[in-house]
Amino acid sequence: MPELDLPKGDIAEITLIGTGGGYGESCVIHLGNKNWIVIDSCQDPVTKTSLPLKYLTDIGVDLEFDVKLILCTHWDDDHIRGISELFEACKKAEFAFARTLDTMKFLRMVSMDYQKFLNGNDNSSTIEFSKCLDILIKRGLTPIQAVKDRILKSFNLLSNFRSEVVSLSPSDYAINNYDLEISTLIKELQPRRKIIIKNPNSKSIALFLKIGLHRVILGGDLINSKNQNEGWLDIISNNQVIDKKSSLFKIPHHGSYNSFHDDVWQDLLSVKPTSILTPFSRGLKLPESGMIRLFSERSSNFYMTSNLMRTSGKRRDRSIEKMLNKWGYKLEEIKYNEGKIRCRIAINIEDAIWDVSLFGRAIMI
Amino acid sequence: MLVDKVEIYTLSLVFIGDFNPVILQPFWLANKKLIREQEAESAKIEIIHNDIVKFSLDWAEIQISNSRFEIKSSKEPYFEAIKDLAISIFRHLKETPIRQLGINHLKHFNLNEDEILKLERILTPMNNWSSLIRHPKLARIEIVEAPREDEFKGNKRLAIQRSDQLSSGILINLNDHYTVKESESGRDGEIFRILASVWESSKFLSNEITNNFETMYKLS
Amino acid sequence: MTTTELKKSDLSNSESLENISSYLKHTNIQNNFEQKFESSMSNVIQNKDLSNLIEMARLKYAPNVSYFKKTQKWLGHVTEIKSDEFIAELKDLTNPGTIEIGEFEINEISAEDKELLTIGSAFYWSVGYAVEKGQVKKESIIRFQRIYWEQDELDSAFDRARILEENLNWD
Repeated sequence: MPELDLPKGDIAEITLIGTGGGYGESCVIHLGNKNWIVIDSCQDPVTKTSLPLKYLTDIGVDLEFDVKLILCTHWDDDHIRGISELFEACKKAEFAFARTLDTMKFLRMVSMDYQKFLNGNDNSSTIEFSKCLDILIKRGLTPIQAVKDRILKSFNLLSNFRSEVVSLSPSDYAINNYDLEISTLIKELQPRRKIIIKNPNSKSIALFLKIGLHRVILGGDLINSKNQNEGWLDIISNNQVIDKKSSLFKIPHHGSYNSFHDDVWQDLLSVKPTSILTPFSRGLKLPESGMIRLFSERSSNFYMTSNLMRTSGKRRDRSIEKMLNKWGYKLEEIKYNEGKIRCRIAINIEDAIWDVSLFGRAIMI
Repeated sequence: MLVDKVEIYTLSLVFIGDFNPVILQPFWLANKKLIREQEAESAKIEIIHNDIVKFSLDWAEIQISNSRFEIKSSKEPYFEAIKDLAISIFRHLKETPIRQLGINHLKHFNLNEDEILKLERILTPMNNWSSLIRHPKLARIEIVEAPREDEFKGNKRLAIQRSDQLSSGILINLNDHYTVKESESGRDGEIFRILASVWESSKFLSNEITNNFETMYKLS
Repeated sequence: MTTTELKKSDLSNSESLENISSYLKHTNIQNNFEQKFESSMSNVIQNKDLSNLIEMARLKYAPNVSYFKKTQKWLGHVTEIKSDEFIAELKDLTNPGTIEIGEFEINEISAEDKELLTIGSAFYWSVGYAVEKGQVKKESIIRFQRIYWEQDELDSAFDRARILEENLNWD
């Protein structure tokens, strides 16, 4: 297994952390000269450790000073588990999330969910997010709100190189829709019910990274929409920021069919890019085999943080297992398979290629 | 494994405050949709009096006096439900001042006489007494913790005695006790916030105590 | 232990007080049993009736509470409702860790809980052995969460939202 170490100042790093599909994903990024950012957070379901926090600690990043931004692509609980612990540890980091139209309405929903948590209901979806808002206040920070074509953070590197983190979504149309949905959620919110957002993925943030001479697209969980004013169609048709094709692509939404758009591969990505993704296995299993073939054909190298596992029941006391079988209950355990894909490249060398190392359950297809 | 020998596990939540017992009757609970109507109909009422109310549902026993409210169950599937019920009752009666909470985990372990004697020897060496007391046996031992140093006030108490429910066994009773802060009135649901935040850790502690007995047992 | 001493420990469960009464009750029961046992024995000898004796022996050694043992518990959240079934994500409360997904028949829910079945609603599910008067049977129990939310809880939530809004520096 390759060594877990710190990259040099002129080496960019994109490390995608997956959990096998049920416990979220995260992306840890070095934009050069000790400038680190983290996209989303996920947890080990048993130890509850924040996996990006553990990775940063393991490779020796100075958490207090060198992590500059934590971004939450969408606040589905699969993408924010352990994010408050991460934010707490990264004392100088800023915090970014998708823009909301009516902030008061949004905060009311998050606070109602928080109230449930205080009262001991285990049905809250947004607690981690709520805790991050508390940290923002404690630090007197302004949250960075991501919208289409916005530079969220930029860094001047040595030798006149520059790194930028740019949000490609959500579009105004998606933000507006989201606002309407929050109104419904507030009306329906009850202490014994968990908030379940319809189509959270159309509001997800997709990112475009400019790192010196290289470009990267991190697709988040963004999917296609019938409406051309949101999702990938909107980015393909209307984006103002993509200046160059990307050589590394984090395939969106676990490689689902409805997140694939041919024009993304034609117009936004270089020919045969390096592609990475996290699988999903929570009832629905992604990516489907046809999509795996497609991504392999389109990519120079295609990696997944783990393989799709055959599902089975959890191992437990024999007598309980017998009881469950007798009554015909079929339980499917969402397995935890941690894997990391680490992609590194020299920031200032035009024809450099991505040097990929795999850790844990990660595989090359 | 000691943990496999738990025969009866009773969870009891005790609240100390100022209560008006007579309000709390099964049909009031059903009327507020906190229990099913059918459960209220089949509730066994022992006493309803201004100073004391005692009744049982199929899955919980409730006893309220002017200063004490207790809800308990020996049916583990309903432990979360008794917590939810207690919290919901006093959310309805939100002016009720409640200042103390005891989470009691009572576990009866099926042990044979030799195993009990061995455990007793571990807890207190009986041969120190054999010249003075003929066939000494342990009746009850209590271990009390110093006041908590975490964010809460209160302490833990552990009592070990022979089980009164099993023909041969012991009862380990953990009393996990919390008090609201002096500056708090107990009228703002403080005790229920404590209950909500310590619920999981209290159950975990009870399991850890069983594990500790297991370790002591193995080492001896 | 005197009664006054017992009262001091009123925060712990009432078990200590009840122990004594239950002990006394138990002893009486034992004595009654001894008598009945004797008469049953003579019944057995005279009428060759064993069933009565077995029942007596079972009751004699049975704890006087109904209880559950070897319980496996989950907290479920409904994710999908079909015509006869619903699907839920299950958090293991007995051995916390990974999540499971399970399918349940709507008929398993008690009539009064059916109105609580909606997407996102929470329920407790347990399987284990129910023991009553010495009789053991396997049981599966689904109970939907019943939690009351007062208007002032909403007020506190809205207060928190206002404080967040006032204190957060929006750009």
